[in-house]
Amino acid sequence: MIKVSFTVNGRRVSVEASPTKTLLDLLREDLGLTGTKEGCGKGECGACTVLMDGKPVTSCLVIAAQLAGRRIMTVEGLAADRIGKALQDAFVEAGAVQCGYCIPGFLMSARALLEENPDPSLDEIKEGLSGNICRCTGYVKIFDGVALAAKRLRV
Amino acid sequence: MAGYKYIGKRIARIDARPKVDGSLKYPSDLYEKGMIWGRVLRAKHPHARILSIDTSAAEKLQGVVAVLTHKDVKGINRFGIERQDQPVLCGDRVRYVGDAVALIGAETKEIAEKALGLIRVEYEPLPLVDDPRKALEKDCILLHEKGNIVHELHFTRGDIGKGFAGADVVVEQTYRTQMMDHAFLETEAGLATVDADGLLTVRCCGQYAFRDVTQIARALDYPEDKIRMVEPYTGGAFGGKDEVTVQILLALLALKTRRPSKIWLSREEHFITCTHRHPVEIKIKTGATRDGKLVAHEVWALQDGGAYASLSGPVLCLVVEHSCGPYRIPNLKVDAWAVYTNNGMSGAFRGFGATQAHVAMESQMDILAGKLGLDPLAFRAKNVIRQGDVFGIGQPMIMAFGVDKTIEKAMAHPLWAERERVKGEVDRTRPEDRWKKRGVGAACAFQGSGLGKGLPDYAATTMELNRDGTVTLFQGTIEIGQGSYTGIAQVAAEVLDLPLDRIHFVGADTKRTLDSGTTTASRVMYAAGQSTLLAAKNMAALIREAAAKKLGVPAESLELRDAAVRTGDGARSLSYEEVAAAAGETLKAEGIFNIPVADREFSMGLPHLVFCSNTQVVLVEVDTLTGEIAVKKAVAVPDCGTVINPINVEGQSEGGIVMGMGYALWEENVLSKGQFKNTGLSTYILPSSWDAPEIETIPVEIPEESGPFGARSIAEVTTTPTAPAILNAIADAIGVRFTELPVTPEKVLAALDARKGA
Repeated sequence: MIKVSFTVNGRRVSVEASPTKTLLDLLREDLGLTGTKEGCGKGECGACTVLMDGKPVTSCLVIAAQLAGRRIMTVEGLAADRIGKALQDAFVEAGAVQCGYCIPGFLMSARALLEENPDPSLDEIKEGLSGNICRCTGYVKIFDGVALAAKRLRV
Repeated sequence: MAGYKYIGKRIARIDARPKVDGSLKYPSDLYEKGMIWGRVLRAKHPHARILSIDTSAAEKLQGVVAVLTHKDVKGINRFGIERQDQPVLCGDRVRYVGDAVALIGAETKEIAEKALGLIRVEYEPLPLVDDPRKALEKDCILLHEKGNIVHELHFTRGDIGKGFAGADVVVEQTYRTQMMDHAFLETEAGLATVDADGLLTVRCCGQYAFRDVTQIARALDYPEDKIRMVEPYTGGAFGGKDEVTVQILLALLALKTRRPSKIWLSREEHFITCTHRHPVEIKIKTGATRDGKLVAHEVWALQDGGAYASLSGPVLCLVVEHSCGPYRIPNLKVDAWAVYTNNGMSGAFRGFGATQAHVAMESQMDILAGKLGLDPLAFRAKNVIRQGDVFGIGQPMIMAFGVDKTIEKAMAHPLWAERERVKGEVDRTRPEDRWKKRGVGAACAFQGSGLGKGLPDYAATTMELNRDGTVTLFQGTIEIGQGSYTGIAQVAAEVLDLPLDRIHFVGADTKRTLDSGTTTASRVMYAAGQSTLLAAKNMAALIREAAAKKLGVPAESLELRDAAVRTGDGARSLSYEEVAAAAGETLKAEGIFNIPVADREFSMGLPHLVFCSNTQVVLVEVDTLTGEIAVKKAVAVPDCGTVINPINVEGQSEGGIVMGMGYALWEENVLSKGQFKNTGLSTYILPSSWDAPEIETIPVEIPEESGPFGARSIAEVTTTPTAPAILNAIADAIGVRFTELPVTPEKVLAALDARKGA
């Protein structure tokens, strides 16, 4: 067991855990943040995407031993974030959400994309979301949601 | 829609906000203090006798709370929607690699995993039946007592011999469709608890909470009234959560240990145990006259059902019902079998047999059109069923049906009408585009709504007027992603003229909602929508009555407007809050709707009376250098009756098309000797963001009187035409007709090489 301190959505947390426990399990089981989802546990579906120091990572592939001093942002932190809030609102309006299980991961990837590129083309949106799988929507309205949020954030 | 305030409007889903802020609890998000983790020991052998099961070492491991086997199951220890032939925990024999042999409950998931490895099971391999043709042979080992045939159907209409004799063109072809995985993002999960009075509560994924109660009660011999299933939301299903998955195991573990018990299948476990889309081999012979009239049709179908029945029988029935496509064919002969094998499990999957049938039939239609020199869609229009016509298996189409209108609209779309121009628009200046060839293809589909003849098929909604003037709506169907809770709430909102945020939705909970049937078979918006309409009308009457008493005016003089009840002249009114206070007791209303059924029954669930339809046109680009195929654009023209919410209909359409692309081009559960070869998302290839084409959805709205505001449903028919439309577009692009799915780059290159050689 190791003790590790990092921040989640701006709040400092300290957890005691096995060094190989995944960030995903820490979030869901130790910190009660179940907004981050597990779809495969192998970094293949993107459902567990969170931001680590601003960059998207699949939290099922990050372990406790890597976390000291890191800044983590999850879906629960998006409402307090300008880009995050715009994305949430746009996803709701655009109809980007169906079963919704993949959506937290998409929102985190989109959050990273829009911070880096406030005016992405359709191809850049596709590239930015290419690590996330959705089985319900056919992606079209997710692209719409990202484009709508980007448009609103630019004005 | 004109005149409506909520119907036909682009209203955001009522469940979208809690899904984007992470607060909605999915079954896998449930954790409880004192909870144990359940893990299942799978057979790994596709067919074997169990000689012994030794759990002693696992039991001794610290942190293990229970190791359960078939000996711990009190009831029939079997489940299955149509017939109960699948063991909860196997005792003497395993029939596929995913069969459950033992169930561990442990303090942590790591301990549970470790304990799995300590269970010793001795197996004696039995002859493997990994080919459905082998299953039909006389000397084949029997996988079940009653034989290897799950269901068979033989059907004739007219005179097939005369029909073919009168045909000028006959096309005979064999089609093979593959096993496909639902691959919903949330794998099967849930949490079960037992309280001091013995009430078992299972919060889990599913598609029919009330049937899950029955299946648990039967398998474990536990009283139905002491079982509560709570299953409002799940992370995708597509039919794959229709059959029992984790429900009985959760119940067993919680009842045995009296500890909150959680089971959450791994992705690999999902791939192995899921009730996939059936592989079907369809031999089909179709005849038409020179002037383009279909005259005869002969179908032979063999469906691989896997190890247990689940819904193989009903799926076969839909293969047969849809085997003629939405066309008039006077002379017909169909012979179809669903058989048991050791190839995993198959069952319900969006399209439910109609998908496979249309792959074959819609390919036939294009081949015939080619031979007759007719425009493929014009050829379809000539033969299509209109309301009043008799379709394939001999049932008159008496309800609203607009496939002819969907074809008309698709033909007028530039992607079809100007397809030669569109195909010429490849940018040949880019080096990577030099080898690309474009094609445009189309396909039609129809799909029965509801369970069909002979099966109970009803929906029921209740609602209550709360003291604050809001309404609570109780609906026992499940929100699996389709958006029906929102559509259902819109129906209530329209009748009561009450904003959606003043309607509280209580979904599937067997102790709070009424049984409203399955969340399958493209039935929910239609049936549960209509029961909600009836409940809302009853509630409106109660509100008027209570208000009439208070205001001293006749109830008939009152109307509901803007969340209040008003006199016709608007002079006097009561808000719903005031009505609730005036009524004294809580106003409660109920609505029950039975899906109309045909007079006669052909076979279980056949025929249907209510149908949706869809015509799709797709533009594909085939890279003749790499063999890769991209879908660049898709146009869908569905007829689902009145559109309750355009965003949700488009969403279903877009998702159905991309799922159909996966079916046509990439997806396949590969089995070898009964073993699954691709059990991860890096080897089972799903469509990604890069694959999504531009999609246009243009509904035609032929209202169905018996549905809410004229609505039918949409779910399955969105995906059914996609794969054959792609096959037709590929043939248009490179002149190669593929008859086996999926059309991988390897198959494309091999076909192109073969042609070069020839």
